[in-house]
Amino acid sequence: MLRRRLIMASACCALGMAFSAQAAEIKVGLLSQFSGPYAWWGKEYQRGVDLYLAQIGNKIGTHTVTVLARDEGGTSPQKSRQLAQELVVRDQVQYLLGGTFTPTVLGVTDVATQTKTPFVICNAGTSSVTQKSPYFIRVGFTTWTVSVPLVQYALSQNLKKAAIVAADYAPGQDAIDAFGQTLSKLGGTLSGEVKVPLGTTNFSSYLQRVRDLQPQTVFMFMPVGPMSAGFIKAFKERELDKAGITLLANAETNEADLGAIGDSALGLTTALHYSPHLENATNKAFVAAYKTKYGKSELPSIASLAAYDGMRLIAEMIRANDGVRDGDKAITAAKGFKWESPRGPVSIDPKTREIVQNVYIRKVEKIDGQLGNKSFQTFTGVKDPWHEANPQ
Amino acid sequence: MNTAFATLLSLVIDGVAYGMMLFLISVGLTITLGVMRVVNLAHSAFAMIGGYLALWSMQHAGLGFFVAVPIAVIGTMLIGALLERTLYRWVYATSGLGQMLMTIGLAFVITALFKNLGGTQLQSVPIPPSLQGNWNVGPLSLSVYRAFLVGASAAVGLSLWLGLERTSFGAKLRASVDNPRIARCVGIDVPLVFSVTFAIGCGLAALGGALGSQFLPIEPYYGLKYLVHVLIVVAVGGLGSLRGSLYAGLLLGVIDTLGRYYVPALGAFVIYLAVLAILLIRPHGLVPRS
Repeated sequence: MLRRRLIMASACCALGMAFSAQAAEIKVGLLSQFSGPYAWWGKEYQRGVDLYLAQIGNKIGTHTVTVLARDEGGTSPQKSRQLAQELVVRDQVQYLLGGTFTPTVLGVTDVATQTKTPFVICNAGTSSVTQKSPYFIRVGFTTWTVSVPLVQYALSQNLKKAAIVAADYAPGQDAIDAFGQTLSKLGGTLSGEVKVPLGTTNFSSYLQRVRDLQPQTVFMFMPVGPMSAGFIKAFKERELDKAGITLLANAETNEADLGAIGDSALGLTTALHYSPHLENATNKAFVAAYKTKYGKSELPSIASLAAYDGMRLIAEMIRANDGVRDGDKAITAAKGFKWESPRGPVSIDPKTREIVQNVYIRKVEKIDGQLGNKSFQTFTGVKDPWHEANPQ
Repeated sequence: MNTAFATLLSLVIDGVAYGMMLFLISVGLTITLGVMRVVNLAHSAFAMIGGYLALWSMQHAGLGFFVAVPIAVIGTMLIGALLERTLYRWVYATSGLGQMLMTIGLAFVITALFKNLGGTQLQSVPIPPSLQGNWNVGPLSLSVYRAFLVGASAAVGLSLWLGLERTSFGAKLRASVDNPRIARCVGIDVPLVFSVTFAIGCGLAALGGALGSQFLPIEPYYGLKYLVHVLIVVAVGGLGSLRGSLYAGLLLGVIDTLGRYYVPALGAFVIYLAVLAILLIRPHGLVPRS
């Protein structure tokens, strides 16, 4: 019943739009966290979207672009589904953007598929997400994409004996698989895995366990925030680095959290697809525009970057469709689309609808008196390795 | 020294340090809940205020750690006293439920306020170089900061105990709680005593928030996130017992640390199992009110 109503509604929208191709008002629905503990994501998404819209003057050709933001306010898939449905059916948005966590993104699956609405996903690191609907495109990154280069880097530094410390939840398990399988495939040895319950702030027991495992390196994966900050600080405080163990991470040294982590983060090596300190012209212009709009001390993050690139991709789909609602045509236009992002050259993989991007090996340094991630090695054009291994 | 024993010893030291931090962040609630009988669920929110005040006075006024922390404590005491005079006063006489609703609501308001003032990102109060580093004794290493935390908590506990048991203010406070009417008759300014006590409770929360920010980083949701830690310590210790809170903090800190190491499969649940067991055996806590 619901399915039929959704199809009817989308058919009506399609018809309505088909007759008014000139100078349409194109609506984009932005789903994110604007309240609650994860409100940082919503703020950053909104900033990325607003910056892009300001740069194009809210216009794609003759079409005006409006973004309707909705607050998911937590991690409930039902809530996200309901918001997506309201946006598509009642507010008649042509595109969806955002989504923060894998469960909230998966909540939108039926709505996107049945109404043929492209959903440009800005985060949610589980690789299998884009297989769930042909209308899902991801412009963020996956755990696999950044984990594999990190392991390759470790092995190139002769760090062959590794332990994994991951938060005990689904994305943590994903990271354990990504690190562990890559490590054994490339000839390293795994000393052990340590799973840390979510919400842990007292890490002494886990660090003692790591010390007992006597690895050369530790791959960590934890949700960005108190757990990451706590672990990095505790690692340094317990002098595990002086015991000859190298800590390696991915997104944990987010610039927004480096202040709280403090000098303990100095020298920490990470692999990620973006840093606001990347030395390319597009990024310099992006960072400068961001600072002009939001304040001198502000820096873009992976979240504002993903929303900015997401809007860039949506603009391309609007252009290809000439403002008409046609989900299939939009997806076809997005597949294989290449552009110059602040993170470097990127494209949408036509097979998997995942973004193909550079992954940078970075080191935390003092940059202009503040801690930041400086890139020193690049893995170019990385495709999501999980999709390569598990074709649809 | 045998390695298994060295491991155990270093875990116990960590457990004690963690336990003392638990004591420090919850002792203020022990005072307000036990002595004044106010269920103050906004207690952790006051700890967060203390953390932010310490941080801001270091960042914006360029003050040192040892100046910023006392300023944060005094600032939070003033805010606490103001709220006591305006809001808390109305719920003293109501049931526990009324107090709970008002104080949890206040915690939400403070959370929203600090989200707008301080942003959503994590913060932590930077510790001075003199407190960084480790002391190494054979295979054991003890962090200077943890030792400082243990010392500070012990000093707080001792001075509170002396203050309540050995000073005339402590006597007046106990009299005001037990029988406010008679206390008033003998010339004690009961509302003033309550305001001061409440402010002291808030100041202790602020101290815990500022000193503990290395382990529990400051963020707008602090007040709601770590409330359960505080409530557990107070409940296990026995409502209102200083000695009880100290024992409970130490016991839970050590059990949690050892449990996570030796029974990793149960991980974070060991502490809850311990709480369940303790409360089954001693329903009124380790040191019940006589």
